[in-house]
Amino acid sequence: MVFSSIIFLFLFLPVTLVLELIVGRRPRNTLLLAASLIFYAWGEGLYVLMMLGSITLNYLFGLLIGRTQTEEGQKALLALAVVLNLLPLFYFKYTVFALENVAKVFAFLHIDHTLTLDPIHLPIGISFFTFQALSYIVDVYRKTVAPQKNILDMGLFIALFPQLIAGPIVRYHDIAQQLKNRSVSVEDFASGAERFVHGLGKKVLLANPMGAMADQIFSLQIGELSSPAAWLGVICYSLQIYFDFSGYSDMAIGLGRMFGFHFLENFNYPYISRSIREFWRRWHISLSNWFRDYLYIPLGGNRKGPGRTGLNLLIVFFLCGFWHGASWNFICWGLCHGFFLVLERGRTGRWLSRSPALVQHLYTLLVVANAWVFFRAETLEQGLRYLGVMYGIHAAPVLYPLVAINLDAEFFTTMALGLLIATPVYPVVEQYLRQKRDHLPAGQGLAVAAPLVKLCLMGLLLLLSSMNLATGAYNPFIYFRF
Amino acid sequence: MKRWGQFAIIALFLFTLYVPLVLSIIVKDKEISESEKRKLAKLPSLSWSVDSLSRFPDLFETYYNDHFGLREQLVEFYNYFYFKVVKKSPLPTVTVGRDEWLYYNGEGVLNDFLGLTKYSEEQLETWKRLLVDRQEWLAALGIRYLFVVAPYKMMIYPEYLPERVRRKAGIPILARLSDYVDGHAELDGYLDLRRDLLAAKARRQVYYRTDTHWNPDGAFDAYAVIMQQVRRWFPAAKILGEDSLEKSKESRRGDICITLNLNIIAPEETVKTVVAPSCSSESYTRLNLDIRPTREEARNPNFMPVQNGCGDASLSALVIHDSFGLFLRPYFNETFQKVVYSNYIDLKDLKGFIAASMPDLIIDVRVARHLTGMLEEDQELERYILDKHAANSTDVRLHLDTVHGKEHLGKTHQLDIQPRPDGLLLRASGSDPSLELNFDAETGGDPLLVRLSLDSPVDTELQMFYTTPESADFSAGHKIGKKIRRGKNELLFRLPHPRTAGRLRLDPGMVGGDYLLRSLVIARESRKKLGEVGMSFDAQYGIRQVHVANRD
Repeated sequence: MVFSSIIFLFLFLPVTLVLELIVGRRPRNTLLLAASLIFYAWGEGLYVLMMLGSITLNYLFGLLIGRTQTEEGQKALLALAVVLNLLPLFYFKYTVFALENVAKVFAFLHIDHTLTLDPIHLPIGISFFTFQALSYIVDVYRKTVAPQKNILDMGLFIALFPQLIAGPIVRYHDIAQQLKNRSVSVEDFASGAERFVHGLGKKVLLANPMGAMADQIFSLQIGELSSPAAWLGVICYSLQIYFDFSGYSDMAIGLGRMFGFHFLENFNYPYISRSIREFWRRWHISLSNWFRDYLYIPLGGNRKGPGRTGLNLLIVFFLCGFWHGASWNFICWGLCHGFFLVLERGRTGRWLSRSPALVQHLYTLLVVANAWVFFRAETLEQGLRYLGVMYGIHAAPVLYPLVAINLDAEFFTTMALGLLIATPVYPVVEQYLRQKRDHLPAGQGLAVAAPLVKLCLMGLLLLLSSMNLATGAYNPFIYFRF
Repeated sequence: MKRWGQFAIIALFLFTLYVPLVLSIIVKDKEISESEKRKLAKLPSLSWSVDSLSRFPDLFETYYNDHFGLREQLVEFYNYFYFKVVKKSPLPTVTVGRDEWLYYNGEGVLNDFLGLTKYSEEQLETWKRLLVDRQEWLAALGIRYLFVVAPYKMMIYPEYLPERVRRKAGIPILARLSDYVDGHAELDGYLDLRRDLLAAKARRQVYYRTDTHWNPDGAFDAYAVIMQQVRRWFPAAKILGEDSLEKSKESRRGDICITLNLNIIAPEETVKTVVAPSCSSESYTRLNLDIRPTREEARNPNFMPVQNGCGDASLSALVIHDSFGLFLRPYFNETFQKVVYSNYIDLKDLKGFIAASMPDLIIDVRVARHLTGMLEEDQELERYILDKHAANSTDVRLHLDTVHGKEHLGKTHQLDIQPRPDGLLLRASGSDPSLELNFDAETGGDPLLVRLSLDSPVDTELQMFYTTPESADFSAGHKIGKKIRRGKNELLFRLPHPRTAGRLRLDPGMVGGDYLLRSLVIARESRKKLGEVGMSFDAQYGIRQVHVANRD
């Protein structure tokens, strides 16, 4: 089930909200866990059993690690838990990729084989909830958190529907207290609703139209693709993936607040970054934090000299790419980011930091946009060819007619809005108005107008999004693949 | 934010969430959506079986998407917003032009208008050859065949299209086919109505503004052009004059308007015509034919052909048509003594009926967006024609068997050739065996017929790659593939390119093993028509127990 669907908006969410209100405080977690399991099973059917297995496994291992006295015993249990958590992820996500590549090697060496390459269904959100569970187990081992003794609360931590299938990757210690005792204030609910609607608008009104253009351009054959079209395609995709994913995170954070959870922010206007390093402090923050805390730092981080730091960064971003998808495209995308992060730690970084802000922004946007080509392309070959066309290699001389006729006022307005909203204009204006308003007596001018404008904006977003969804627009989330 | 503001946000949010839910509970489900022209999903049942449980979410979601509260209002408001504010169509299958001219661009129309429909010279030749085959087969029966293509609206009224669409106009596939057919004199009954309707539009409006179709005036102009062609064959054919039409005005919302579910578009004032005096029946007689159409959607008793006609007229006709043909019916009813209309069943499936009923004339009329669909291959007809032609094709260009044709042999790959008394043994050592052949392929545009007798060790695919004057290398774009079975195979086919060059590559199969090429003959296809070479049509051929009976 996706948040931007009729069934979620006009059935699942209102029913869950009203039941949460009716059942009272004590059974609320049980209700929310049941709702989360239905949410997952609605789209994934019996794969919900795998999630129940993950809950049980991590609950038991958490308790066992907590009760084991010796360091060796704890280490052994941690290692076993990590392996058992990663096994399903490897099976569902990486088996076909591994077999394909083994088959290629065999073919290269002229070795006969009977490897079959039937596709394996990838349960939605498996990468997210596996990483979430791993963070719990490692934190218990590190004694950062106490083991969860209530299996229902443990289940809710892993299966909580707002962040279940596309993050943010919630760390146990961030919501441990809320699992035990959560409350929803009027302010929480209002800000949650507002955040949810903003996310819905981002997804339905910005990401989908940008995605439609990106899809059209990326589906062109190389002979049909001109350089301007290729650049337009990658700009549209950059906007699509940002609004798609940050929109989902907004909806997740908003829903969390409506149910009494406070998730950490996952995006902070990444496209205004001045370096790739800064980009990763602003993009998918929960994932970069996870890799930092559970991989980069254990590998030695930057404590073992520049050479080892560079290697650590490449390892982390190789795995970051691989986490996103089992294909050489994603590995290439990850390594591309890793490479520029390593560069920024050397002379290039020092030169960049002395450069004008405009140069820094342009550099970052160029690296990020070029890397997105690998993220979006179906194959590594397509990605490389597409990149070639962007720089004039085998580029068609004219814009493909079907693309040209879609470049109308609606498209440019949406794109301009997208570019604007990808920068922190809204919070700046909000902050400015709040400061002004605080100096005015209640009921006067701006004090009344500002909330009214906000309310109207929300109403408009709700109306436009609902209308759009009612027409049956196709709107899958990109990040459900991961 | 002040507290009242927070309450207002919560109220607005909850109102938006709960109103559709409450309405979906209290309002009775509708069965049909008139604007979408479809049945709405029904509430699925649920039982405790794994199959039922696993299918339920999708079925229920489909149901809920069709029935949630305010759905129709939201869709209507969305359409209104798009049409009035964004100035665009809310549906991808409709283009909104200037002055509220609406264009249907589904079924590949926009791609075609922009000249983006993929085609090859082989494709054009195959289409033309199909029409020639139909013409020849029917001529042997003494029946005339007229193939008519009605242009879609963008072709006749491009000036109302948005500028960004209009200036990207390309060459549609109909123009390419018409040019191709014009260059080959073999087709007698091919009518592309674009030029005539473009000329007619200078006098009056010939297509509806809010509908996909031509209007009664446009249909009458098309009728007049069609009948001029018919009169070349049948000089005594009756043709209605403009003076036999009674015209009145009507206010009408077109089919595109209805699809958009937009009542804000003003109905168009348009013309309505009635033939007066009329000598045809007021109602149509449905024929009860024992036909099982190839297309599944045509398998409905209500889709059987219907009949009408006028006692004062002389000819009989079968008109195979789509919705554009519906507008021609009032005029054809008065023109032919007996006219049968097949709106859903294609000529391919009507061969038996045709042989039994023997009309004077067959008119096959469809809009250009259905062009590729109406020219789907008819293996039965092709086999019949090729059998007859092969017997008369004496201009042999290549004959290869144990005795003949060694001089044609070229390079081989994974193939060893050994002569045997019953043919050439092709011993394939791998999965990509091939044999190159060289011959004189110049025929002045006549097709080349290939007759091949081959024993295969397994079920596989035989491929023949050919070269053209433009492409001297073998490529996947220039090949013909034929499924073959283990054991003996007799194949007869045309090389699809009209100007095949004299170099071929035969891949007998896609697996290793022993293939026996008993004989391979390539000959120039005889251009003599069936009647001229004295072939009598086998009346049993293709007839599937036809019973033609009027209901009355």
